[in-house]
Amino acid sequence: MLLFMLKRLGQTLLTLLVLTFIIFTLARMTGDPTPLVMPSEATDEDRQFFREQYGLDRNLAAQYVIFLNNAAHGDFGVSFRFRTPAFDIVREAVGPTLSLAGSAMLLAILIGVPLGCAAAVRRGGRLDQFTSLFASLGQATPTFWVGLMLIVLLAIDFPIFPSSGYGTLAHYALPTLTLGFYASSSIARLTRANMVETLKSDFVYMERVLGLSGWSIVLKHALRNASLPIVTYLGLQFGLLLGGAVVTERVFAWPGIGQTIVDAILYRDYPVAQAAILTTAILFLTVNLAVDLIVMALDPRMRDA
Amino acid sequence: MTEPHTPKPFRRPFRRPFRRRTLGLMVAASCALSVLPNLALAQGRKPPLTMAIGIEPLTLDAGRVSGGADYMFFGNVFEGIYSHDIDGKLVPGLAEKATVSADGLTYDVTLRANAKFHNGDPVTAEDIRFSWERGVDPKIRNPRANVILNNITDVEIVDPLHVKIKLKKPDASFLDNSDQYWYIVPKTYIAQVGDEEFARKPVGTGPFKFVEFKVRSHLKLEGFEQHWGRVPAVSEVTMKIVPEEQTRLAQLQTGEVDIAAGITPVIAPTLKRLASVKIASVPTFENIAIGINAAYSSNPDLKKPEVRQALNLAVDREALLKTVMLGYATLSGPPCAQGVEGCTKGNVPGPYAYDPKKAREMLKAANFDFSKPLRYVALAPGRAPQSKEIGEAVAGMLSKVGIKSEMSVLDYGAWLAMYGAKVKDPNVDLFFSTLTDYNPDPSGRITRLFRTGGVFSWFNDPAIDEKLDRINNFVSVDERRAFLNGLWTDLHTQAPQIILWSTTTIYGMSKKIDWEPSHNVSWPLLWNVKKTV
Repeated sequence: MLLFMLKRLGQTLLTLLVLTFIIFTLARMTGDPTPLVMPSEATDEDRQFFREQYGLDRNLAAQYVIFLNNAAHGDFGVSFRFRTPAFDIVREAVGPTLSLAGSAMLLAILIGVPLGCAAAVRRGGRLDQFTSLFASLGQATPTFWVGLMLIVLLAIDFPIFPSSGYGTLAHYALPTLTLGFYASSSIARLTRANMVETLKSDFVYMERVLGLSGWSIVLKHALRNASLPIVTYLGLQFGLLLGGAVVTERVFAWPGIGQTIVDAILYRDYPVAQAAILTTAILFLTVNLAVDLIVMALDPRMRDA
Repeated sequence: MTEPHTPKPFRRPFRRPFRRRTLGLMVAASCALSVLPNLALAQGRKPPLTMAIGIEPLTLDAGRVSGGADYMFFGNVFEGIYSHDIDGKLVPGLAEKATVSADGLTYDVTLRANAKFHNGDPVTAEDIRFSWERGVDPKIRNPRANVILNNITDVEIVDPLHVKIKLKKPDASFLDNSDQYWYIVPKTYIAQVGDEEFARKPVGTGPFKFVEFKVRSHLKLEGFEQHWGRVPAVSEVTMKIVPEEQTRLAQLQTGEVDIAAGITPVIAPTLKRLASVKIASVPTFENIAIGINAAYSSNPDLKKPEVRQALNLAVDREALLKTVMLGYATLSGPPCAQGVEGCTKGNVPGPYAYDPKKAREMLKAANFDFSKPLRYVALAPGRAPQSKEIGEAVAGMLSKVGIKSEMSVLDYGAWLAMYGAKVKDPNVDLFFSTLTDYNPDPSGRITRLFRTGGVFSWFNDPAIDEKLDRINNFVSVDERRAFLNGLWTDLHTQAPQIILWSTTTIYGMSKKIDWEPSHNVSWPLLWNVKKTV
């Protein structure tokens, strides 16, 4: 177990190191930030001063070493746009992102897992057909459209929730529903597929023969067996929500990390882009690690492996 | 198989009498809450204002303004010695009056006795001198010092309310530009807290005081009751940063905000149809055109003025205005907006008339190579209204006179890098072009746009260069206006761009709001907003 943890930690650190290089290189490939940062009234001297001030006049290898050294000490530099520490901007965005991703995942699990289970148990029935439709719609409908429709319905036509913004619990409602709808549809589909397979297995047949109750078989035994790929998928999905909820963040004016990354890339704000992507990566890897531990707890075979 | 477990019936958490009491309390509380705003109004308290904006300021330091979105903040919190009124007319700001010497080298400025900073300190001659010194201080590195501050040689303090500003060379645009390029900052406060703290907690003299700014969330300001003249009619302003236009629209409809800024022409008709909302639109000094790479293109035809004129004749501006901009723009003859110095309707040539037949004839006469497509670089949607659609429509119109075009679309960053590149790309023939005059003085913009070597200049004409070099060397405002008038006519004839229009800023607002937005600027100045509750 300890060896496994150490191995995973080593892999995580190596992944982060490779990632720093990729982030650094990709950020620079977007081009020179000077025209975006300096006003058009600035003189050539002002522009040169900006490059020198941020070390952009040095060669790329030197810039990378400085970035790596500073990042190791928690210093991601100063935002080109806002002239404030890049990590401060990212830190402000982490809370809203984590809380939104968490609430969306919770909603997705509460909808997706029971729906998937029920569809598997009532295979071919109306509930199963509804689940298929729900899953298809959830995956096929753009989150942008879902978000706007929810605003029209639940904020304008029936003013129950605030249309957008961040601050109170009520502000979570619409973005959570938007992201939750998307995530729950895929979770429902995956749960159904795994449950269908598990319910066909020998041990389930044996339990039936032994006279165990239907729901006891489904919830206590089959779901536990079917949950391994679901938990793994939940981890991936959560990771995606951390950095990939850009559209939802934009529609609901949610001050999260996805929009921060997109803005930083569009405006070539290297320090913020680097800090935000690296932070997202660390969060993602942490979630993956947690998923591995959960899977180990669920599956005794993994502990012995 | 046994039936699944049936849960016990749900037990009511509260007894009936308590529920009734609770309900009664809730109704009473709702009634009390609903009358609170009216009570506030009855007691003479001003209502707060909430606004949704799409872009946010990048700095709060008056010495580091870079334009555009920064004015959302600076236009409301800081002031210069002169200002502009709602119609864009030059009026005294922190100065009570200013006179210029006969040689145009000295401005004698008398300050208002009742002008104060937000921390209560009076505005004195020391602050004027300090604001200049700080504005040109290499440590601060003001990126716009070149506009007017570097031309100042001294700010002589005559008495606490009287300064003499001495210039290296005459500059007839000095007072106009003092509004946006020279904000007055508090000497004593900055000496106490330092530059970094000042940038975090700025203190200005404008109609609103700074309260709080959270990147990508909101900017909060408070009305400054001791302002010398423009005391706001609202207690505070919260500008919510909402990048998505549809969301700003939704917030306006739900009453979460009182005003939504950055409404595009496409959305404006939808707003007009809503019963609870109204719109206000004002002309701006933002110029939209299709730039022509006359100086550096690998297509030599674009160097010929008659080809560029023909390109202008081939574009049906009226149709574009009607279909693409839905009427929300003002057509331009020369590359200037109505109201800019020397650019008054009737005194400058009108927009090129749509004449595809003549355009075709002129192109043929100039031996234009119709086989070579013109490479057009468009700006992706989101930054300027209808930027991509304009390119598509113009390409269609050019094809009617036999000009082929190839369009590529760049996002804002890539487009700006292309537009302002030090070495211009010879493989670009036409490109989306936009640049704003921040006040009626156009000198900075047109020098950057049309002076050989200007940061956005793709044009090269020694005669125009010579005029642009003299653009600020005037003492008399009238003489300069006449000079500019001639320059606009020259630029119209030389056609360095397919000149289109100046934009209109559109605001959506609740019917509780009474506000005439300031003309000519694309950022909201909120001191004259009134809100009824």
